[in-house]
Amino acid sequence: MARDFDVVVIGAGVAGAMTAYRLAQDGARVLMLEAGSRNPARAQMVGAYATAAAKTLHSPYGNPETDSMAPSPDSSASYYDQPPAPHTQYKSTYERRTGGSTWHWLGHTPRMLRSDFKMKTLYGGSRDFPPGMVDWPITYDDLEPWYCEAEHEMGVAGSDAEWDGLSGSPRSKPFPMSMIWPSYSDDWIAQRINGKKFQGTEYLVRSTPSARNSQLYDGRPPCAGNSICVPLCPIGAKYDGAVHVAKATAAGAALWEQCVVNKLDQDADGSVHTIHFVTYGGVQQTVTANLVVIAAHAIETPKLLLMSGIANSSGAVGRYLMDHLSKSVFGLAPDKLFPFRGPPSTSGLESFRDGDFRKRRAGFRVSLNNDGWSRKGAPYAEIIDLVGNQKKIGAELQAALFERVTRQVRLSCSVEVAPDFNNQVQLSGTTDALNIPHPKITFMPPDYSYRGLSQATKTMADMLRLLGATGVDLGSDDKAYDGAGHIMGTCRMGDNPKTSVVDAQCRTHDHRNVFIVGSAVFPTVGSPNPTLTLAALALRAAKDIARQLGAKPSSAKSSGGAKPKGPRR
Amino acid sequence: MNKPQKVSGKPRKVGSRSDLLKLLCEAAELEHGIACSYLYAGFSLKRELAEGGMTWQEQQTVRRWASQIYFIASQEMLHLALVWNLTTAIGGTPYYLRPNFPQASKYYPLNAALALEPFGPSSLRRFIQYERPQSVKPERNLKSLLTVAGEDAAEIEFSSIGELYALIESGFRGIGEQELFIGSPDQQMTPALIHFPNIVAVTNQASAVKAIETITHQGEGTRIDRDDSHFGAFVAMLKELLDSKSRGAGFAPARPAMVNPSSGLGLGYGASANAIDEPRAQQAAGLFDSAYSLMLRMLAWSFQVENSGIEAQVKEFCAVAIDFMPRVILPLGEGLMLMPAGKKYPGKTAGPGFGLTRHVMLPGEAKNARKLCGERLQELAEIAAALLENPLPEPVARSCTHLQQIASHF
Amino acid sequence: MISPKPAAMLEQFLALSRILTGVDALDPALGSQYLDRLLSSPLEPSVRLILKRFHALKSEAGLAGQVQKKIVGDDELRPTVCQMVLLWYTSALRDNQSPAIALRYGTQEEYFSGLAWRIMGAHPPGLSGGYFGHWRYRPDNEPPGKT
Repeated sequence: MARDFDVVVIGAGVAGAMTAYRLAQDGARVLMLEAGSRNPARAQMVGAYATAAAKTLHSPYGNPETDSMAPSPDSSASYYDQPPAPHTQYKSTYERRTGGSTWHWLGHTPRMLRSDFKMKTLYGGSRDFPPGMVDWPITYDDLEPWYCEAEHEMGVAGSDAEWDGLSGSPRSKPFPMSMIWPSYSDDWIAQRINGKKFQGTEYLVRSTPSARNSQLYDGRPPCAGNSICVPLCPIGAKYDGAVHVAKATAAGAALWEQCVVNKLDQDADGSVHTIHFVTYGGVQQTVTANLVVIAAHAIETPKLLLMSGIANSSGAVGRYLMDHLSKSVFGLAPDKLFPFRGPPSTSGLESFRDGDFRKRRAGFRVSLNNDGWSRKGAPYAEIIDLVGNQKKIGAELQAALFERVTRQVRLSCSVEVAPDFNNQVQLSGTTDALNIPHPKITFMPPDYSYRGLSQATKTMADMLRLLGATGVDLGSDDKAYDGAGHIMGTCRMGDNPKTSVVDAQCRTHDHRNVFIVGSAVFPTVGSPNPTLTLAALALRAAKDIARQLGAKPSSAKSSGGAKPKGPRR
Repeated sequence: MNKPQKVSGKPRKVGSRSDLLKLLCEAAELEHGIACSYLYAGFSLKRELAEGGMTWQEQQTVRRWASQIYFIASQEMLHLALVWNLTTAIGGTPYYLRPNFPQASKYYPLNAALALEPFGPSSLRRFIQYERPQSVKPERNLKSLLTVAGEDAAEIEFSSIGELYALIESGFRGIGEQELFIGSPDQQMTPALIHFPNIVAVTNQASAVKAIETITHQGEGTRIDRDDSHFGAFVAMLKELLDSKSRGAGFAPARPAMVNPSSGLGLGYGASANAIDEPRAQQAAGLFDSAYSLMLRMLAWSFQVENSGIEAQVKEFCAVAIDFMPRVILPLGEGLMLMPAGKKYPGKTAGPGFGLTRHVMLPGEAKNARKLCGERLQELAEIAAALLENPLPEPVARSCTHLQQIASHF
Repeated sequence: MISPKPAAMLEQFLALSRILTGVDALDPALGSQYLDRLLSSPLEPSVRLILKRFHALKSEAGLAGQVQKKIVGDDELRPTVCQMVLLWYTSALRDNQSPAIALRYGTQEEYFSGLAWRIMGAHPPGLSGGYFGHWRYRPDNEPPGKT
């Protein structure tokens, strides 16, 4: 039967765009359907950021129409339907727009470690080990060549000397670019802690691999230290999903924006070919495909599956919602470290991610940050205090401001959240302007992860002590955490169709022609930022999809005629 | 009419160490001179909105251009460092001299003379010519991009830096390894000693080829035309500049710096440069030349000595030299372009001449070299102190203070 | 509508701002915009009072010290002084109704001309700080006189 497209990819973020790009290159007729809008020119967004009263994740991207028609937790604080405090909150958010949430990601691209794929085998068995913690159905070695591909596609800068073989996880190719230079602050800290130990684990500061150009790469300039990677790189030195959206369309993929998918139909034989979507004007319509790829990030994807009543014979759709627990600690160093320069973070510590302790508590990464106390209002707070309270003006004010702000340090951690069946995404009773349900989120970090958070806090406190820091602020609430922006786990990958949503190729167990790409498929999360891993999985899945399509340069005849030019508005 | 000597298609034979060393000296001169040319253009780009001629959006673009030019200049400096490693590996000495600006247009077989010129279509066109790969994608429409109304487009046939490196590589490949690599491995500079993460220690043919490939991959001698090369970056920059010119009349990204300035110290060293005509600017330009010369000598010394046993001093020299760049050379270069050039140059500001003149060469003996550097730093600090007694543009004042700090910490 | 300000008022505002900020080279065009913002805010009466008092002080010796004592030292006026500095330093005005620091910005030009960043050895977030890797070294715009 003739279908409009070979492949429809739902969601034009990094995962969807990379998949679309590879398939279009292979000759498949591809459509990317994106709920959000295209961004205006970068300079315009920088302008929006500059004058925004609050420099939030969304501050460059605000657009009244998109914000109401394709709302997201970035655009609206009440988008998630979750019980208010003191119940624990799910704090990570995402964007809905062409290019996706990588518009405002920090850009860090560490890989998962070898052990991260085999948590149950390596660390399971004890009472403290979470029951939901499973093995991935693939290994580090299976994914390693795809990590290399993903690094090449995005343009990752890193240090081979520091990273090859970390925790038994070798690299078969060098980094495409040499590392983003560590900051003055990183070097100062490294001098004081490298080689020392905390509870038997050695401190070692390493530069963090990042999808941020350290040289001209892929027609984009090297990083020039604009320092607002979060929420926007003014010059495109930081990778964002729009890079692959452009490559996909150049390779022949179609892109329909402001089209919100609200249902997928299951045919009698269990396959899914009909995709229902609605435009901002309210025009409901369909498009058909031989194969469907859902890449709508880890909350919209399960939401869509639940709305459609598909892919969920396991009952696992929306379940095992994960994040990384993030926490910042602050201090004043005895020397000047000159923050507010360079990317917000250039180095970190990897030594606390893996070890026997994972039988009882979560591992974590530590980041060294270059943004001073900006999260506590610096430098505005300091200026207001120095003038308003301390009555300083002129040269005295300048000296005092310089003296204080340049010594500000922030350390942060990213703690593994273990999968818990009860942490989930469901459909809310509240609907949006297009009558689509908001997501209802239930999230409580497991004790395993709280124990990791506690250990991370102690570790960072020790680091501040070694630095001779004063004015130390560890936060007042042991259990308080921030979201890391890492939304994962809601369509977990596994070999067993009874307990997982997709197989090792990211194909849903229930529907042979439906694939899911993105961080939704992670069965466990380790402690690295997820983007590189999800990109590797997407590139790998694209190969399997192409094979399944039997993709050859497709002619109009074989797919039943000319594809539709665009949606009806 | 003199045509540049066409080298491609008929390789000169590089048969001996002497041939190879001569080519490496030429490469060193070129990388060095080109880096100075890029830095001059970078210094001329305005930074603050208060300087006028830019909207805030244009300021974003201008800062990005400056950052890219400085990045490319830093890669040329890496290339110079690699050429120095290649030189010492085969028994030579790092060559840090170069002819003063302006250079006679046929001094190198390039189709564009090296010059010190502020940022603009003219300087960008020259940069594009320096960096041209051996074949250019037709869709670049390079000929029309390089044409200014009334000027002829460049000839497509010409010698390129790429061909120079091709010759150098052929030398390294062709001459027997045993016989060629007579330099001490202890002379080689590595990332442990100098803050160049991509520097390659050269001890044999394989590492020599790797060093050359690092150079050609980044900028000049690419056989194919890549967007990520220096060439691609400058072409994109020129297109962007010409676009904005056709949009807004008020856009003036560059300070009105003079062309090929001279501090007067360089008198007698060839070159018919434009002597700065205003005493304080001339003094500051003189300080620039002296600081630049000292920085070069400290670096070249580090590349020349056998560093085992004196790693700490080598590291120190490199650290000081590299500290000079952002804290003395850059602000002084930029600041000079905020000072008047003098009555002879109405409407123009001054600029650094990168004048290399008679100077005291550093001795090989480590302790003496350190002593001489310390003494010279003190002398420069005193010149800086004298300059500071009167009002100066902020970057110049800052650079003088930094010089004093560096001297006092040495 | 803001009542038109006389040129003398702008001059006074700039002269006072030089003392408050410690920066001599203040852009008069920026100063005019900032004065407009102050005069069209609830701070207007306080701003006029400050400039009047500054005018009275100008003939006295040790002007900076007088400003310190009689304007900055005045508890009623100091919040407005703080706002003036905040404007020049960051282009933001604080919304004084809120105990948390809630800010309002003006134009992009103002934002990218904020003086605090340079004083801190940094750059306005969003504007490039320079060439790749500059963050590895001490700032090249570190204020002179500091070690």
